[in-house]
Amino acid sequence: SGGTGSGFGSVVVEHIKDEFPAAFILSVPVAPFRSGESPLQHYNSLLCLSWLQQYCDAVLLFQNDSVLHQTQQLCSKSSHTGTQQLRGQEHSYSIKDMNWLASRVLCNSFLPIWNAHERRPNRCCLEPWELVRSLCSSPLWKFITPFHTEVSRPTNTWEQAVTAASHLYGPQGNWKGLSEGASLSLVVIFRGKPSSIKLLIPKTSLFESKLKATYKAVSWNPFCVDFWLSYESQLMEKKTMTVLANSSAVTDYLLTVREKVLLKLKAKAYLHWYERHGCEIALFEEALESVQTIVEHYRSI
Amino acid sequence: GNNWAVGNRLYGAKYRSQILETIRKEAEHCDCLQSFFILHSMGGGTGSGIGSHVLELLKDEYPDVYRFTTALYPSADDDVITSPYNCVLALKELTENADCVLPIENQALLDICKKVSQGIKMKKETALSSGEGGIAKKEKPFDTMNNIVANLLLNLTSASRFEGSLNVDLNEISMNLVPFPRLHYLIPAISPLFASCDVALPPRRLDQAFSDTFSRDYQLIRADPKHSLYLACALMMRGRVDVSDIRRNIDRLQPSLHFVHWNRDGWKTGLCSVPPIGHPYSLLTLANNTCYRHTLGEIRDRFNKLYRRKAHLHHYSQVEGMEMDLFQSSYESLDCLIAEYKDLEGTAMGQPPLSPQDANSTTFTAPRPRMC
Repeated sequence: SGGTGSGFGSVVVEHIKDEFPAAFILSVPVAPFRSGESPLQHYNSLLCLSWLQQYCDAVLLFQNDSVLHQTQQLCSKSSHTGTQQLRGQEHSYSIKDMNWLASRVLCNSFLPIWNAHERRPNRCCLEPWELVRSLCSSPLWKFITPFHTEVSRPTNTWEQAVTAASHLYGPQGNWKGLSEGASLSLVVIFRGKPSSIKLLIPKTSLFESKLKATYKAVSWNPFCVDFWLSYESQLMEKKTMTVLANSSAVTDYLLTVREKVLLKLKAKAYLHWYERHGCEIALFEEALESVQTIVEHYRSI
Repeated sequence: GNNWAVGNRLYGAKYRSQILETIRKEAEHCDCLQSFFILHSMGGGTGSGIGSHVLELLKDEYPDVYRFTTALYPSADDDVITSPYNCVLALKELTENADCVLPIENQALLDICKKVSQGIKMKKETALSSGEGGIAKKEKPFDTMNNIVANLLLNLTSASRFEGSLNVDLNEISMNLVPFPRLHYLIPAISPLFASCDVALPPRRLDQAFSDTFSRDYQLIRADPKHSLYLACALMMRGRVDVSDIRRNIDRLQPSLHFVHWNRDGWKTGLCSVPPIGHPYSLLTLANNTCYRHTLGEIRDRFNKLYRRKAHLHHYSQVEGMEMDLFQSSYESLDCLIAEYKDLEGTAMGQPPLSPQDANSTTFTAPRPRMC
């Protein structure tokens, strides 16, 4: 939403691509709250998104609204105390709490996978490459939507973790982006103690069908769901599940940004600040087209 | 001498190089010069005259450094008879040369002081008093009024001076709250205005601070932003407040506030961890709101009453370097500004939602708001 992250970040990505054309770039941007963090957020987000689409191979997009919601769900159920304060009947959550959730997603996704059968990591830390390969094999669909949940008490089961995903992304869930769309592929990362992972192994096909239904996985992809099961190292004591989905859930956000930018451009609001530094209206028009193209590709799934 | 022309043209020209030299010395001490703050009144001659001259100097010498002005508008019963002239002449300079103006009315400050002292036990170290006791009944409480303005500046700059999870630089304030170059008047409001020793406040008190800053009694000009159109609004929080508190309050207040249709989520949020002394938290709102045109309208009316009769104009015409058609051009600039706000109110408030055809079109032929 700001200038440094979206603006400078975009330039960095462009330069990395120029310098290292054969390397894969996975970008992790954070989208601001939709109810408004900054009046310029839509302009900045639009320009940033079009840059990322052009220069990155995969974009793991966190949205503050979704992260806050997931943080609230997790903290209210689990024993994680974080930094939240009690205000009357409601807990309040800080940016530190939200960052905690985002860092859990990234840890789960990028830390080595300790294979459940052999007690050593078997992928030689190629997890980021594996992610990009599994999720974003086509340049038309580059956006990854994360979901994270943890099951803290020993009596809680993996089923509860899988059900939590359907609460957010399912038909009655908060996130409406999937109501008309579908998902291309999912990577589901389970981490837990060896005993709990062993309990999970026979249930993978059941979970696969449940998650396929939640995320509306496309039927033409035979390898839609990829399970990564990992014995846990000392890092996380709980059972955690992270779902990374390449799905059209992202189009809701993209369309909102596009719509807000169009409104502002019609009123010619704030443009003098951008023109002062060499950003003419043509740049916005190109970015709008770029984002519209992304949406159309996702709609065609 | 209560004469804008004397301040701006006579003393401005006379002391130009001295002023520039002093500023240059201070500017060179800075590692990273971000902005200038100019505090002056609009009613007198020195404040409005030299103040606006300094503004022009800064624009010429330091064009890339942001210029924030805290302008004190006179009350209707101001002692200075020529204050409407001084005000209008200075306003033209502010509109053209300042990046951001925080208008404050003496009358609003007085009202706030009265409201707080009536029936509320004044504790030590409140936002109003500097620990020296209550307000003397006979003389005007300038100390307490000045303290409110001082707190405004402290809260405004706290995000640049202290750490926080959502820091806001001064240039960000200008960039986010000024959608059109001339409409850079931001109405300030602060809450709370009196101390409370209870640190672990339940949520109602925090939410009350948010509600207060949108009510007319807490604004530092006599205006009611709630019944006018918001172009953008900044919420600068200090203290033990979390991002979910801010989101909750924005969601709660949004339905009762009218934002212009192209900026319905035009909020700029800032969070600084260090609270002000004596309070567990504080909130400063800066609203770019069309209710400011009513304040401008009153100034214009007071100006007209004098100008129609050409009263006191000879004081100005006698000053060397003063062109009398400046009165006309300043009046037109003011008139234009009021019209720009009114246009936005008229076109934006009744605007229907964007139709699907509009959403897909990428041609932008609509003219900008009237530029005078």
